[in-house]
Amino acid sequence: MKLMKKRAALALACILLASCAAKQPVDMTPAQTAQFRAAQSLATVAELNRGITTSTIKLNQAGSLSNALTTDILGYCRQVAIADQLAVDLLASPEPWLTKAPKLLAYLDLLRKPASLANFNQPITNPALSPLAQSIGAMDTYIVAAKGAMK
Amino acid sequence: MNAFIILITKGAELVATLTPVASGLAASIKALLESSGEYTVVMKQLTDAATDANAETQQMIDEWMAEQA
Repeated sequence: MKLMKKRAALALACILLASCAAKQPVDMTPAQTAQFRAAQSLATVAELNRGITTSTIKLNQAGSLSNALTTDILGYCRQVAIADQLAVDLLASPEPWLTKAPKLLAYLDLLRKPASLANFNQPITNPALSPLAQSIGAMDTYIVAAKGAMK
Repeated sequence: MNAFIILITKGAELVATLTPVASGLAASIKALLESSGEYTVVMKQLTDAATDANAETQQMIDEWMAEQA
């Protein structure tokens, strides 16, 4: 359990470090600033999602997570990876920011935690699952914040 | 001879007037190119990082699903 907490803290530190490493260029136009924030958010969500996927599979292999719940979580992770990539591809396209922005916000809506996992943050009997539930909750909170930063 | 001196003097004045403008313009263009270059590089780094992470995530999920089948 302690090892898992340490790993979760280390993963979070790596993500924060990666976010800081992509330093915001100076003298950007407002549209460039918005697109930079969007790219930063999408990269962070992709990293968080990869971490959640890895943890879910490891917990399943360790016998701490049922196949049914693993399938639910991985289904969500796949949905996030697909929607995030669609948004990344859109961001890299030459389409003007004015028409691109509303589509990106719609993609971010697809990244929100589904109702099937709504109770996953409730008190969990198996303490090994707590870091995973926190990670999923943190990603959802981050997606909401990213939407606000892009407006 | 006087006309030649006046021409040289006026030419020198013109160069002196234009030089700060030209150097200022060159500096602005250089800054613009540098900032747009930096912007492009950073955007590519971020989109590449996201693409790699998304591809790896989908691959991990596919492998786990294949093991279950």
